[in-house]
Amino acid sequence: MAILEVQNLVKNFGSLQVLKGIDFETEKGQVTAILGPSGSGKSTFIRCLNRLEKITSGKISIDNEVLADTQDGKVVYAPEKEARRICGKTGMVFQSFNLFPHMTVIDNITAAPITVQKRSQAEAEETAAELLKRVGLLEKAKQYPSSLSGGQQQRVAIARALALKPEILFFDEPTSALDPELTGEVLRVIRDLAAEHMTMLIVTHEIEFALGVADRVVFMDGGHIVESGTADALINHPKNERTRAFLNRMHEV
Amino acid sequence: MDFLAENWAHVVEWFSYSGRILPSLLQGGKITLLVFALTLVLSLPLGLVFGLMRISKIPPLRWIASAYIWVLRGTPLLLQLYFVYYGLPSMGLTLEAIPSAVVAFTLNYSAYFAEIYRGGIQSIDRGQYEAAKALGYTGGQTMWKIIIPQTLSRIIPPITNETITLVKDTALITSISISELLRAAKGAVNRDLDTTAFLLAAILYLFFTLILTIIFKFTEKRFSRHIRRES
Repeated sequence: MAILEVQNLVKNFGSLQVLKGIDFETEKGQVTAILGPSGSGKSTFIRCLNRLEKITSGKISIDNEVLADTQDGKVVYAPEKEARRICGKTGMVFQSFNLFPHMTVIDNITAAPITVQKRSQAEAEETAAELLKRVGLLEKAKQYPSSLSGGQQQRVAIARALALKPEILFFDEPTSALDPELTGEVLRVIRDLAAEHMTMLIVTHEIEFALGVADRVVFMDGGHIVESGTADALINHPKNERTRAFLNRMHEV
Repeated sequence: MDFLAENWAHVVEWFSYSGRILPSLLQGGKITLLVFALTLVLSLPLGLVFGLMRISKIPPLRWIASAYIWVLRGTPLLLQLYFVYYGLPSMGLTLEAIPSAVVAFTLNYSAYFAEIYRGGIQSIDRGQYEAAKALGYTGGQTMWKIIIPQTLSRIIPPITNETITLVKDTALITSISISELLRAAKGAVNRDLDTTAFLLAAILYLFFTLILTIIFKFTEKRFSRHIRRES
């Protein structure tokens, strides 16, 4: 059963069309890596899924609930409160972490469960402590993000997203802002989540990682999904010329 | 030491004179402090209202706030004071001198504070709004719990500046016959033909601003705990 369904998604920025009709589906427990050159629209695509970008036309359903649909060429979103609830089934990890700098690590993780989901402080803190343990940062609970390394901040950001118990997690280039020696600790956390069958959509440039962690890989270029398939098929035996050219370029680096 | 010994009588006389006029200066200082405190307490929240309107998604709110800020920053505070005290009665609204002063000062300072708030809010990275939205925060929750708390460490220094200016601007209300600190000092100088009262007034103003500086330093530190300092 599809937990996320996207039909004919189009996104324009002014007169520039960055997404030119994306059809996409993901099953519960599936890990999808999205590859593609910069400017291909892959980040914009996942940003459309939780309303960080407003779509121009198309349809998005999450867990069989319609977030946005197009009627007579006009996009209609679910009412604000409904839309917020539907998007509440998703979580997002950003390239630049975007932790809240004025809150300690543990407060970063408990803030949304308390404010948005109205959980009790005690319950939220218990969940947060478990999550911090999982990402190996329990001893940093009382520190502020500014005293953490980039890799540590990103692990906290993952814990923060998990604290809301999302059905599906979006990663927007989670290691692109990190020094090379710090990407490993973040990728390890994502691998652990994959092993627990967390549904994930990961925009990444890490080909080896995608090969290791993803059930399926999608290659995007020029606002289209050019090719998709199992990680092995797409990365090791790409059919499309553009996919091949992209992978060759990545291997040269 | 010799100098002191020779002029001992003068020194004693100076201190005893100062002691005699100090109560009337302190009386004026109380009025200064009252107008200052009321203005600050009222203009800080009013400024936030206009600051938020200024960046609102609703165009008419933005226009109103821009016009308000333009008028109140673009005309002299003294003129605004005259307008409230002498001008409003002709429109059927008569206020006593001190309430007039508080109204005029509150309107004027709220315009400056609005711009400080606006600058603080606009300096926060877009990623903070996106993170909050992705976590399911409403617009209001994002503003109050995520954005505004982060602006505090940035807006306290300019607010400190404005607040210190406010202490000194209170001297303007002497022009609508309020017996504040400066008027009390001037009264003593005119009566005794001795400028000591001016010196004492200066010391009192300095004392006010020193206390304020200390309070704001402390507050700034409190809200900057999360900022790592290079040591």
